[in-house]
Amino acid sequence: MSTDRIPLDALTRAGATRLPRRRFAQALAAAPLVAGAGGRLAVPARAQEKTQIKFWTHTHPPMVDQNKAMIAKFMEANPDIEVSYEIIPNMNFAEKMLSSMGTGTGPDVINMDDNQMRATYIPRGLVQEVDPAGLGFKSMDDLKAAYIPGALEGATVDGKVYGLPSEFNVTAFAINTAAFKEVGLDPATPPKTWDEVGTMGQKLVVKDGDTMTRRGFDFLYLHAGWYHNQLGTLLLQTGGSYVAPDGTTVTVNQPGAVEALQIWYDMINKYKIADPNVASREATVPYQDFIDGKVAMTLMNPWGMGLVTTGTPAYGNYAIVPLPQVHPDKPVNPLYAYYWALNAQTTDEKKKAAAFKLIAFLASDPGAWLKNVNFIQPKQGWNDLPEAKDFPFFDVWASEMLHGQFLPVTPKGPQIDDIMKQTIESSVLNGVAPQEAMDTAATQIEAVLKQA
Amino acid sequence: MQPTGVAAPLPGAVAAPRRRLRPSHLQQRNLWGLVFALPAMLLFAVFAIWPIAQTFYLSFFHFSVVEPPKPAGLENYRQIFSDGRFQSSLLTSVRYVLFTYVPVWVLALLLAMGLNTRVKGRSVFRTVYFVPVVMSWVVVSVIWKLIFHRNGLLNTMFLAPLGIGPQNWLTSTDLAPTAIVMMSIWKEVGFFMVVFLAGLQAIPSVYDEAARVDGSNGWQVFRYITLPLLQPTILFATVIGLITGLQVFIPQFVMTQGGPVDATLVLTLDIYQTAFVFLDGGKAAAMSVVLFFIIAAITLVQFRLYRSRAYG
Repeated sequence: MSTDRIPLDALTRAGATRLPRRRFAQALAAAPLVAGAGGRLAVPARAQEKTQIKFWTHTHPPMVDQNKAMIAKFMEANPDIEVSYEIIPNMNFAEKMLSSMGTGTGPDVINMDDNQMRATYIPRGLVQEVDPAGLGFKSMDDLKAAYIPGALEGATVDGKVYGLPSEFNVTAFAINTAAFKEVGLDPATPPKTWDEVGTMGQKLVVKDGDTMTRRGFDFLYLHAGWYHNQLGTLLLQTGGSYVAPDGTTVTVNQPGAVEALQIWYDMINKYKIADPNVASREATVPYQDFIDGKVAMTLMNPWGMGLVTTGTPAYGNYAIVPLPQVHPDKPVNPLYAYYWALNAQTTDEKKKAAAFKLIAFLASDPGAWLKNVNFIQPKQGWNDLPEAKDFPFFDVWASEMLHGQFLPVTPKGPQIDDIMKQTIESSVLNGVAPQEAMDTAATQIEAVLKQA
Repeated sequence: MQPTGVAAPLPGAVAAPRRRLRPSHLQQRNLWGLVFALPAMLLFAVFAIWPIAQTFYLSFFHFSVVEPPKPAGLENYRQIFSDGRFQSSLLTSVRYVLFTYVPVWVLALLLAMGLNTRVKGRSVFRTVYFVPVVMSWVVVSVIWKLIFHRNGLLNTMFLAPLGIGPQNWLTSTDLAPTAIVMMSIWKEVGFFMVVFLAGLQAIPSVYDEAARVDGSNGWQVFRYITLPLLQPTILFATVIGLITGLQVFIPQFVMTQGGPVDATLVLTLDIYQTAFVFLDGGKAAAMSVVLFFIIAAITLVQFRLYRSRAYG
């Protein structure tokens, strides 16, 4: 390869007090060429032959460690594939993913929650249908049969499947057993209803002047997605919704939905066991206050147990119990899941094959995910895995899953989620009565639905 | 006798071949200047002018960021002018600018005047006041988020000893905008102090001395000598302050995410959410265009105002 090179002696020879301008300009012009050529030459020939794929996830430290370990093994087993793994901060995960996909710079393999998948990614054609053969299945029926019923529902639209579950979560309840014992409550008889949460919570509260140093119970105040999941938990139980199934009738100010917000509101204003003003707002460790012993009861997902690490006040001092219910005779728990899916813009056949191979590999060891990350991968027989026997509070999680349901997807989901975040805050922070807050929300949602 | 100098060509004589035109030294310098400026100009065109032009263009389209744009005419503009959220976020931005930058200008001017005297340790004071300026907005916002927490430094160290109960600085719709304004004043005052200090030091001391010889007091010197001569600096400070203030994004994004109940949702954050959360890029582009014209109009008015004062 020939490149225009500047003789070194032109720069160093004795008597050359200054570089001639023409030479200098030539040097400037040639520098990128030389650097580029050098850079290209520096890449080993073998790397050029590798199929490069990008994989992005949100931030959850145990999951990140597991991903890194599995990717290393995958690349070792597939030396012709290079995986570039990137972790995106939770608070801006959705925005970064969408903007990157809009500009064609997104990852080949994404890991996204069921709400986003069904509300945005699948309807807008951002992800592609899974290829059973690429994932190592003989047919789509075989693939579906490999998972427990309903497990793929969060990534299925019009009968087409767009992702494999990386984690399958059911919401249960966590109690601080040490705090229970301290105030004379029996951890073996946890609250069964939200009213009981309120009354038991009052005993668990510890105050320093006006400030609660231990809250009896509290919700989490993070981003709009968290508000959606928590209010959604209550809506499932009260039978409320934001919008009717027809997609146009606003129902958020109907009794079922108002009752759901009333439960939230009562924890703060009636029972006085929660305080959003002191809640931690760090989305990387959502259960921080429970882990630190600042909250005695909380909603909990299986993966959350992975954050209760040795040395924290909650370590060894908590129990997972069934989720309190509005109607204990008709229990219902929310389900949510994350899915590995392939970017629709990944059209190169080699890349597609490599990406599906990676997804298949990541999904191949549910035991490791259960043991290391507390992620349930809902494959048939997951509950018979040796790791399941050691999984903390396995029986509770398994039984709660039996009455699990995915939250409904509403049109204009992100806008409505944002409206509901404002609605909840106006009620729980400013004390606006739930009915009034929901009436305002109804007007705003109607306006959003009317927009093109 | 022929005059000395260039002889006129004789009639009928054949003109001597002219020397090839060569650029003058100045032209050569200009050419080289252009060559060296070209990369920066290209970068500016690609990363500033082109996106601005694209924003104008996209404001006439429905554009979801992840799908191809579809023509929308003036629909995006119609939507934003009937959108309560847009009006509210614009008002929040204006409030932020007024409540942050008016106190900043006053404080900065006072500090600059104080440090323009021969006070002991003025270099130390200048450095101390300037330190927040060199810190990143993100770092400052994270630190102040902790300070403003209900169990944070402000409540426990400063208010509690005064017998004032803990305040919900970042979760109260009344206090959250105030908290961000307080933090911004702390962050911005140093920069404007240096600007005013430079302006004050550019005023020749003879005016001050002459006025004092004529019997003017301190206030009169300030009102009739310092302030008029400081007008170009004040213009610079107000233009920069207004532009920076209307474009503020990081503290609201980091400290409150625009909440609680949109109390700190400034226009830039609204634009960001509209584009990347609600996937309405066309509307966000229209909002950006409106913000552009607001800033341009305010700047123009300021220039006109100061020009009419200076020359009228």
